[in-house]
Order: sequence, then structure tokens, then C-alpha cells
Amino acid sequence: MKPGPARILFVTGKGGTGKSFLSRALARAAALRGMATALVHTRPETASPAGAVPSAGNAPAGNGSARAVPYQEVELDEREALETFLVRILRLGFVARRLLDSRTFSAVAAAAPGVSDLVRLLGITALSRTEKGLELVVVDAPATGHSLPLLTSPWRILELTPLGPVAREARMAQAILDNPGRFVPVILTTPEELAVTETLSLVEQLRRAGIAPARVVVNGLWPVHLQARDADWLLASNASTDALLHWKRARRQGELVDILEARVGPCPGLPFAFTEGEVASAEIGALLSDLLGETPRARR
Amino acid sequence: MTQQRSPLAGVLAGKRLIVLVGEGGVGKTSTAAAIGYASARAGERVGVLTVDPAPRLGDALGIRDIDAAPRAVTLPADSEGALVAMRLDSKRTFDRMVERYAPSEQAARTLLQHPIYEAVSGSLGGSEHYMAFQRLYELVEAGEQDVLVVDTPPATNAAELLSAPARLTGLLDTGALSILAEPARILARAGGALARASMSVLLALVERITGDALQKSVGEFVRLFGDILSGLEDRAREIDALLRAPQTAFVLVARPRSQDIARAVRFHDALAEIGIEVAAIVVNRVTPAPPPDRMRPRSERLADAPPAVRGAATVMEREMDALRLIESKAMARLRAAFQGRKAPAIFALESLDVDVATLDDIGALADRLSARP
Repeated sequence: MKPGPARILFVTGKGGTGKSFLSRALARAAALRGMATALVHTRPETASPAGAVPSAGNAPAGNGSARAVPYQEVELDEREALETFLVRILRLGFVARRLLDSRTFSAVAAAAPGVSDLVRLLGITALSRTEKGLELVVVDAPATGHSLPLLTSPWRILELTPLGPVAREARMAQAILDNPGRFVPVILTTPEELAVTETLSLVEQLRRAGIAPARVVVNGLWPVHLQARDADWLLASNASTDALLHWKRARRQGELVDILEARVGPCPGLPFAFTEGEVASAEIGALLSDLLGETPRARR
Repeated sequence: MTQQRSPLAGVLAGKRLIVLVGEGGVGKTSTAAAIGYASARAGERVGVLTVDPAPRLGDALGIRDIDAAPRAVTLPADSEGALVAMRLDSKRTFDRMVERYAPSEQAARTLLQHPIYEAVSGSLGGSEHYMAFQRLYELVEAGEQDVLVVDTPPATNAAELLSAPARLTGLLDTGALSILAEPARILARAGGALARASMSVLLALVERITGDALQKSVGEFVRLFGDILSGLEDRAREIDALLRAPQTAFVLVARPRSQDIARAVRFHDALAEIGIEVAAIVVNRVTPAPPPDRMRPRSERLADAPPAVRGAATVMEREMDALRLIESKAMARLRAAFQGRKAPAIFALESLDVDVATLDDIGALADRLSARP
């Protein structure tokens, strides 16, 4: 491997879209192809290995084998990140520890809205520095509503306080976040109306903030088994209510994916897992290549 | 397949305030609309307050835009009640709260135009949750409706949802912030040497983070906000009492997937821990039971079908069965979670063919909730 800073895949999306599963699967796929990889947990509940258990229908399964984890797992510890921040950036030295009670933290957060978000963000970007020796950092990020303030914190901070050590850190974070070669926001969505709407609005907000273009991944796509004229026969015949319902749902999903792709370009998809363990790790590997910009990949 | 013992409408009879909780995208808004619709059809004056409806559902209710005015929803001709749909505008609710509790009009204006106010009112963690309850309180106070159904912002855990008022007032707690407001005075009053030392470190810290100008600006903001703080704290207590009142019912909405069910059960337990009882769990978008045509052999039904259809229909029927299996496992997991302890009413709400997009769809869901033929 050539030494250099790592790429960050920041996996966010609505609750229940399968963020934990996808980030774990991507980290695994990257590690298996020999990349020095870290998986960063930003939500305490996802850090347990239970997050690795594939759920049918909700998230695509990996190959299911219980091999030792080939990547580094990092839990983003807010307190630790803050301590690093106080000591390294603000150079407050040993007294920092004394300040770390919750009250002080509230005061800091209130003093400059966005500081606590920036502190957490810096905890993530620090991992991508060359000396960490990583090639890929996969972030199992907070849900949409919490990820946006996290990612936009450098911009918000700079509006409030354009000078000083914190501003310098914020600028360095910006330089990573706006560089498509360093930072790829991955928005995971289900092919459902509300999730798609929220995804499009997040894409737009990230773009407006100046963050590198986001990639949208659609999880839980139903297969299309019929041509439209065959569906007409089903409609007319009443031969299979189930098949007709299946077709209607798949068609609706297709409409929503079309809406997405019209706005954000090709969106790789992962199939709905009708049975557990159905999605091969090849799917994830191909998705990883796509997200890293190696090969374009068709949706279906 | 999953036959509820009593319709949800029965469980919620006599309740005046119905609070829907659950993760994003589980269908809280459509369920809230259907509960409101059923109740209005049965003769109540109902208000449905929603946070973030899917676009077509928002259109159906006439409240697609964030600042949409309350809108009367057209009910079937034989309905005796009325239904009003409302959309939460967090920012305006926050503004109204400031106006109400500020000591003077001038103070309210200064606060509303303060640069930090915008940052805080827009991005403060949990402010949307807090505002949902705040708006609810205003509506209860106004007393124009018999029944209020509120669809809360998505929350993955109960703490995120219910500690919002406490967190807001806690963050603005005079203890932490008075230092920023009037550093010199507080510093002078600080008794021991240790206290003085930590205060000066804190001040140094704040100065390094924010720069002098911002610190002054923060000071002004904190002083202004301090004036309305006791009003906010009273309100937070009143909201808490309202949520625990006997006429209030919590309805937890979840999807029929094992992992979602596990999270919903944790949500339920966390609510129980702080003394809030969930009246019902609605498992939303359950796939309908196999249709009657499945009783006849496929070979017979598809005898005249084009070959492509015959093969495809077989696969599609199998996939629908696989989906039903996934869902029935989730339902079993839900029931097992409440074995041997008090369970909320569990209600499987069958999905429509497609998204809930029209008033007819809401009516159809309302039929399922009230088990009308």
C-alpha cells in the first residue's frame, strides 16, 4: 500500500434502512481485499457484534461465516474526543480532565453551538490521517437528522468564530469533507416515498454546504419478474392476487428509484432479502468498488 | 393470519390525547391520520398534528408545506365529527414560546433576532421533539378539539423523545451558563481557591473556543434567555403531567421485521421505566393473509397464462410467502417479548396495496383500525 491519507465512507440514512449492516459489510469487503480498514461506530447501540446479525428483509446478508473480524473496530468516544480536543487543540493540558464534567460540556456546547458536533467530527477525520496507516475508514454514522449537523459543523463554527485554533481545525475538516477523493457520503435509503424524499433533501443540503457529492444506495429492492404486458394479463385474469400485489410494489419501487436517479444519477441497489443469507458477498464487493469509484455498476 | 382481539379504536376509546411514537418511516403519520379519521367519523372533533408527512400523504391531508395552516379534512357524508390536520412548525412554535414568556415585547424581539437564537432554536438537539409537545400543549389549552392525535418526530429511543424538555432547560440551566453571562461577577464571588482556578480555566477555554466577541454575545443571549427560563421549566413540568394523564394514550408503531420489533420492545421498556405505559403497539404494513385464489392450485389458475407469466407468478407467490414468514416470525417475537408480563394491546395493521396517498386510503386504514366491514 502507498502511504497517504485514508478515504472515508460515511454511511448515513434514515433509521431502519440498514446502516449498521451495510457499514459492517463494506468494512469486511474492504478488509478481505486487503485494504487496511477501520469501522467507526458513532452510535453506542451499534457497537455490539449483534449488529452483524443479518436480518431478513431489512438488510442484505453477508456470507454468514463467523470468521474473525479482519478490520479494526473503533468506537467514537465523545468524552475522549473532547479530551483530545481540549489538550491537543486548545492546549489546556492536564486541567482538561477537570473540565470534563457534564456541566462544563453543556457550557461549551452552548457557548458555540456546533462545537460538540465538530469535536465528534474531528474524532472521525483524525482516523484518516496518513500516520494512522489506514486506507479506508467506514463510518457507521448517525441517522440523517443527526448526521447533517455533524457534517456541517465546520461551516457553522466558522460562521461564528472565523479566527483561532478551533477555526483552524474546522478548516482542516472542511478540506477533507469537500474533497471527493477523501470523503464519500453514502446515503442508504429504502425504496419508499418518505425515505426517498428525505434522502433527496439531505443530498441537497450536503451539496449546499459544500460537501463532496453523496452517493445514494437503495436497500431492499424487490425483483421485477414481469413485463408490463404480462402484468396486464394478470390484472385482467384475477389468477394471482399475490403476484399482482408483488408486481405493484416492485413497480412503485421502480418509480421511486427513477425519481432518485433523475436527481442524483445512478444509485446502486441491494436486493430485498426474502430469505436470510440470500445476498452474496459479491454484491457487497461490487458495491464497494462502485462507491470507491472503481467500476460503474448497473442497478439491475 | 394475525387476528387482533379488539380493534384499536376500542383500546383508545375515551382517550383525549393519543401520542404516536416510533422510528422514522414506520408509518406514524398514516396511522395517526387513520386513528383521527376513525374517531372523527364516530363523532368526535379531532385534531391530527403531524411532523413530517410523506409528500403524497401531506397532499391528501392538505398540509404538504411546512407552514401550512390547519386544514379541515373532508369526511364521508354520514360522519358526525370533524377532522383538522395540522403540521408542526418547530421554529414558529419556538418563537411563540419566546414571545409568551419574555418579560417584555422588547426583550422578545431582541432574543428572536439574536444570532445565537437562530443557531439554538434550529439545531439544538431535541428541539423538534420539545416543540411537538409544546404545540400539543397549546392545542390542549385552546380546547378546540375533543381528541388530539400527535405524530412525534422520529426517535430511536424513549430518552431522546421525552427528555427533550428537560435537556433544553438543563442546557440553558443558569448554573452552567451564568458563568458565561457574567464571568467577572461570578468569578469574584467564587469562594475557594480551587473553585476560582477551575473558573478561570473554564473562562480561558470559552475564550479560546469562541473569541471575545462571541463570548459577549453569548452573555447577552444567556441573560435574555435566563428571563424566560422559569416559564419554560413550568411548561416542561406541565407537559410531563399531560403526557402521564389517564386520558393520554401512547401508541408505539413498528414494522413487522424482527430487528425493528426488538428495537420497539426496547423503546416500550424504556418508556415503562419512566412510568409511561404504552396502550398499544401497532405493527404497521403487515402483508395481507394469502388471498382466497391461493386455495386453488396454481396449474389451474394459470392454465391460460402466457408462459412468462406462469413462471413469474410462481416465483412471486413464493416470495410473498417468504415475506409473510419473515413477518410472522417478527410477530411471534413481539408476543414472546411480553410473555409473563403485562402486554400492551398488539394490533397488526394490514398494508394497502401501495403507499397511503389519498383520503380514501386513510379511510381504508381507519376501517381496519375500527374493524368496520
